[in-house]
Amino acid sequence: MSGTYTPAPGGPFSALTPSMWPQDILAKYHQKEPSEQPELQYDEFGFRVDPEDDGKPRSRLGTEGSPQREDPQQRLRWQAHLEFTHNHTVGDLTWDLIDPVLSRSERLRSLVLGGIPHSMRPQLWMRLAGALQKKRTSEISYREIIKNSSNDDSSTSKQIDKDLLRTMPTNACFCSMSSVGVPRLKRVLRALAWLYPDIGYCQGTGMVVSCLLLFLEEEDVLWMMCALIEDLLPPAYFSSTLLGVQTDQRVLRQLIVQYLPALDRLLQEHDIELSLITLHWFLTSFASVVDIRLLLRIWDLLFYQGSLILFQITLGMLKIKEEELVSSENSASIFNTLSDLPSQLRDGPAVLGEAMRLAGSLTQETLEAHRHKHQAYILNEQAQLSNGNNTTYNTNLNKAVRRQSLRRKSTLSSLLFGEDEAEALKSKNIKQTELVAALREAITRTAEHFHCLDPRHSSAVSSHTAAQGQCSIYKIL
Amino acid sequence: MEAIWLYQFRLIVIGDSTVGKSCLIRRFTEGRFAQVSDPTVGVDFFSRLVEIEPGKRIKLQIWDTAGQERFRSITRAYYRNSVGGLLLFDITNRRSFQNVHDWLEEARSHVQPHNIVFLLVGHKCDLEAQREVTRQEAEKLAGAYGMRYVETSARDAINVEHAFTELTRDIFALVRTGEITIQEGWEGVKSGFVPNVVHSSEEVTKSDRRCLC
Repeated sequence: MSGTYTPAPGGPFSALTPSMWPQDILAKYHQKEPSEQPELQYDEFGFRVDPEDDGKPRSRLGTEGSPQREDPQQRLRWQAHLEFTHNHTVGDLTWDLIDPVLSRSERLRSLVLGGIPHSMRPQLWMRLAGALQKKRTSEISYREIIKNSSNDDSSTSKQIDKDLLRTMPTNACFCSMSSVGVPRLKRVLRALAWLYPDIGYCQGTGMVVSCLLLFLEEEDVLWMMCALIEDLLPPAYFSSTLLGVQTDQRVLRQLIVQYLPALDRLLQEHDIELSLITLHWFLTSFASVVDIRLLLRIWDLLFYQGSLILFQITLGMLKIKEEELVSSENSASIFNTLSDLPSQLRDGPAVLGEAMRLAGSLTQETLEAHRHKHQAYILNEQAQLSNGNNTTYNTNLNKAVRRQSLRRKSTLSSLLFGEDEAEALKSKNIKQTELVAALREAITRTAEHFHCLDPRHSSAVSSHTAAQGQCSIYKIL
Repeated sequence: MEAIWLYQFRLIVIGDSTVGKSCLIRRFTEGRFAQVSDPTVGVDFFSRLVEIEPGKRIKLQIWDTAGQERFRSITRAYYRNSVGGLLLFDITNRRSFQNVHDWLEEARSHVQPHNIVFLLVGHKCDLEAQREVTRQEAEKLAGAYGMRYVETSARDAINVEHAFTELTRDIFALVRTGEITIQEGWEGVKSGFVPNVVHSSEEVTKSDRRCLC
């Protein structure tokens, strides 16, 4: 191999961050002889293009959805906005001169809604999500995190290893152990498991990490994940209880009653448990669920406004297919239509448009109120259910808390310096919910402990204790 | 138009992560082997018709579940509405065999008040050289739980049809003897469309009673 190869503009791998370019495959593309050309075709994101797709090559050169063809107008609007909001110096504006945090405004929101120019995504995502701030203010360096988390023997590492090639098998960057993305995926997943012992490794996060790795450098991906876990998604989204993401499924179901009453009736009539399907969508923030072009547009908004967008998009997508669903013959076909629904919607602007038309008025405050209520229901149900089934709580009593302090700190500072009242109240709610979850788990563990000591293994006693404990927590709060 | 079937059974497939649950189901429902499959997050759904006797078709609704421990609180809810299940372990992974007991306990405590018919499946039997669990000990364990034991390979399509068909036959036998009955509000067994030509009078009365179509 001589030097480094660069993808053709708009050609295979051209949308990837340069360090992910698979040099071995690019080298083949540069061969003069047609016989030397790689036998597999890839798109600009490195995904294998299936030649069976109607026989026509799915070249996306210059097509509407291609992120390569940036709308010059949109790019200009972004540039203007960045220059306008940045008034410290005169002269050429470079990324290191732009603040790590962009202040929220109606203007910025409408720009994000219109889409971030693909070449600006790495820099803007880091800033919108607050990941750049985390990177700059972190007390521990990425190198140290990697060093601390590089234990091959832990059961977590073994589980991660098993999933490395299952995460994005159709992408050239993740398809074999020698692919450029695989060691990065492994390091980031291990780092996350080490940083968040209460999460460890959660299947599903791999999809998010690998999608981020296509566009950002490894270290930046870690900080983006920290921003997702700590700020953008509600607490306990990936934790061993999955409480946060389960709560969101109940919230979604309630929002459907409100926003899509016809679909609600259909789901009730056929007794379809929607959460079976949508849990995956929420847990991966749509990574590996929707076409990557649509994913990029959704993520622009996710990093700007957080988890609210997951609900808006889901409602919008369901709305688009509502008629088809309602006219389905039986529950199996409804279930299948629902499962395949996101992968069939490729028109980003249409999905975003419907999402905003239908649920654009849904606010973070409303969402938090719903979450609060449903989380309490779930905790209560689990407390009643946990008679004798406590073995699944394999939580380690001596776990260190390595990375929660940031959220606590920001909660504290917002309380102290009182941004606005609603914000403070929200933080307080979240913190209370976290406390309830932690207390509940502690009580379960205590109950389990006594249960184990009891020679008669009387499960009635432990469940009783847990249920009572549960009640008293509610009284305290 | 829906194919004609006598009953619909809902099955659940459980077992540790990466024992090959999704691959086994795909082999059975789609007839192909996927080299890799995404880790299942939550639950997936598949269906296929099985002919257990000439003209007697059973529709299987198969629920694929996530193996990772943290998803159990979600998969748990689906035991109750299942009439049967495949409990998988990987013959090249001793740990997954040791966990069979936990899976069974987990399932049994969540199917109440219904019963569930399980089949123990030692998967990946094409990897004989890496075997860590002998057939004898697996058979012994299955015997102790009152289950059948089958060794399968999704890669080489060994015993895949057999495993699902045997389980379906066992359930069908229990339905015929009345040990398993169709119940309102339970999804485990449902009766379907019955072709007029091939069925015993006994099944006609049963389906006439239940068929809502």
